[in-house]
Amino acid sequence: MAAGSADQPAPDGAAQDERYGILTLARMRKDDGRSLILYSHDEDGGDSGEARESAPPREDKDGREAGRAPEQAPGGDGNGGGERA
Amino acid sequence: MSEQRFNELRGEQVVYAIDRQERTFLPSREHCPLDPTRPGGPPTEIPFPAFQIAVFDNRFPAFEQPGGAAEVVVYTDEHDGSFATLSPQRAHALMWVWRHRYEELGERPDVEYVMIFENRGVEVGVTLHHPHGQIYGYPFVPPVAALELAADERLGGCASCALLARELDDGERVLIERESVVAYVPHAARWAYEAHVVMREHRASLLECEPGELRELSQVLQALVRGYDALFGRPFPYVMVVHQAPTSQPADAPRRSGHLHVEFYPPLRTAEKLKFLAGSEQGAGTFISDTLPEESAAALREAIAHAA
Repeated sequence: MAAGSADQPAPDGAAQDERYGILTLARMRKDDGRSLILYSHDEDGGDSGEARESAPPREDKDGREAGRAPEQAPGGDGNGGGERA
Repeated sequence: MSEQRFNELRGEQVVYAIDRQERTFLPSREHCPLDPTRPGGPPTEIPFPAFQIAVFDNRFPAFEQPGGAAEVVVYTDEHDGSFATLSPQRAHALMWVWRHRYEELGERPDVEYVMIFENRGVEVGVTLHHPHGQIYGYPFVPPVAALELAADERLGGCASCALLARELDDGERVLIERESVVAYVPHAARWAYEAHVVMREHRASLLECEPGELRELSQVLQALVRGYDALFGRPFPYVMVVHQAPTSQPADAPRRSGHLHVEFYPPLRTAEKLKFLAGSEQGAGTFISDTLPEESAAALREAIAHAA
């Protein structure tokens, strides 16, 4: 991901990468303070992101655990192809 | 900052977001604000020369903290194309982005309902052609979501589960049937080519979906929109809305459920003719349709098969 020149990167001076399921996130702020999140993922046909297809359990506003993240992904997309646009 | 006023006769909130009058309207290709910022080019909303999926706060928000949220979801850094032309991997990743935004926005105390949607085509008021969708975090449960909850109560259980069972039993309007996702033209469709994409198992939201279900959801959504494009051999305008459970759960109220499904409201009734919301629809709230859902479903099935 090209994330080296954000208008206003994260406080420590670099975008903080996070993982969420098959995604990697980079959070930052634009010059006017608005939030910007860049999401990246494996665009190849082989699903190397399979092992990452899980996310931590979530608590709802009442502190209850809700929507426990899926356990493990089955196989990859297997249908290849890049951006068709 | 937008303002809400309650319309007593309709029993609904009306939102006034007057700054949106100034929002970018059908800019030239060279000045698309959703393109990446290329060396030597004009600055855009995404200050990088390349990206995959970007989400940012809307510059012209209908809602903003602490009174809700309005976000833009850019599907790709390619200016041309659509949800239908994304790679399968990108469409799958988009489901996880939707899930992430539903979770984060839903945790905010000023957001009661998260609505993920896409307007496609100038026929439905699109102002930017770059492939993208939007997310509104409503500071209240809007009328359509409330009606779905009321339908659950009226039917004594999940209405979407009951309707899906009826559609599968009938079969005549089913478009796509997969292990975990089903697409159909509903029995009482309001739009000529309305379609619903429904999780087979009861899933209140994207948060409850298994990874394989998210992947299959992306596949069915893409198959449907490709079928739409094939139906009349032209880019098919639509409004696509992800319906999920409200994120607010008042302690003194029954837990408000929901059933994850995606509804499409296409305005075309023929290749060249639009359905307008006119006297009966606006004045009485009653849709008058000139197309039977069974006929639409047959045509859509053929188009989906042709596009596959």
